[in-house]
Order: sequence, then C-alpha cells, then structure tokens
Amino acid sequence: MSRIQDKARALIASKMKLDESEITPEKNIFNDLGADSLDFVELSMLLEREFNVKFTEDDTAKVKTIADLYELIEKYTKKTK
Amino acid sequence: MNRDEIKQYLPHREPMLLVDEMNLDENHVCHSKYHVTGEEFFLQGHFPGEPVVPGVILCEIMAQSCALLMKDDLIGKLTFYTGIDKVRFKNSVKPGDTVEVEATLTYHMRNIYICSAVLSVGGKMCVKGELSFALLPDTRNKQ
Repeated sequence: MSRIQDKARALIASKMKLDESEITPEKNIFNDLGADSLDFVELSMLLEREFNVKFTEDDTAKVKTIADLYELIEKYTKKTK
Repeated sequence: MNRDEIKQYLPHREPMLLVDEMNLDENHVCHSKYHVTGEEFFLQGHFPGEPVVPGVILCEIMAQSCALLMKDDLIGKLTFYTGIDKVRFKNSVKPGDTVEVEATLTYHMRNIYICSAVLSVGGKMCVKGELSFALLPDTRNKQ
C-alpha cells in the first residue's frame, strides 16, 4: 500500500468513524461503508484539502469503491507534481 | 433584492419565507435581512409573555440566506436540508430585532451545497453554523 493510500485510508476511517481495518479496496463506499451523498461530498472535501487537489464532478461521479477513491487521489496528486 | 424579487428564486412562501432583503457582494458572500415583527406564528407560545425566536427558525433564516447563494441554480428546484453542523446559539432574537445573515458557499459537488453562516442582530452574533442542502427537482406543477 502506498503512502497516499495509507493517508487516505486514515482520513476515510476518521471521517466515516470506522476502524482503519474496515477500509479495504473492494469495499463499496455507499453499500458497504454506509456513506450517504452528503458523507461522500464531505469526504471529497476533506481529501481535496488534505491532498491539495481539486476533483472534477465527472471523476467523482465514477467513484464507487475505496479502490476507485485511491485511484482518483493518485491520478490528481500525479497531476499536481 | 427585495422580498418579491427573492420569491423569483426561493420556493418558500408566507409564513415561511424568512428573508426580507438580500444582496450578493463581489466576493459572492450573501448579506440578508429579516425583520422580526412580533406577529410571526412561531412566536405564539414561544414563550407566553417572553417571545423569543426559536433556534430552529434562526437556522431556517440562515438556510434561506444560504440558498440564495446559488440563486441561479434554484430555478425549478426545491431546497432540502441535508445537514446542520457546528451550530452554536450565542444570543436570543426578539420581536423588533432586524436579523442580519452573512452566508458563504464553502463547497459544492453535484446537487449538494455546503455553506457557512453567521446570524447577528445589531452587530452581535446570535447564531453561527455550517449548513448543507440538496437541490431536487420541483415537480409540483408537473403532476
């Protein structure tokens, strides 16, 4: 697991009030972790702030799983380097 | 923008339209006012002999002011609260007070909007908080 994924997992766990061990790549953010649309927007806001990136709505609309979220963050952090 | 102009954007109507005037400044901060006449329905019984605007109504005043931040997105939509966070009540609001709200859009994704707002009377802060909304299609005239 990359450092970005480690940091993202800790942030997601904190935001969702879950144990980090529950944040695994295959988990669906909505169905498995119980996030609603506002949780997801707040999570995106937190990740954007912590990683200093700005996601597009088209990209966030495709996110379903934790793996999707890791991929999104990695794509955007590469863009800003 | 006066009350009639506000009605072109906000779906709220009497007795729940709680903004009398508003303007958006060059930094896209909404400044709004509502004058508490003392005749409002929510003062009846809250409290007999000591009318005080209920905290939930103050939140609603802030919410309507926040909604005006995205006034152009409001056409054909209804506004629904999705959350109220970090709300603190500092001072009460009474008949005769003119409430002033300063609202700022913090974040927007798809149909969800997160705003921060401060409500004050005469420069004294009464309430502050973070409010979030969803805009959903207004289907009332399509049924």
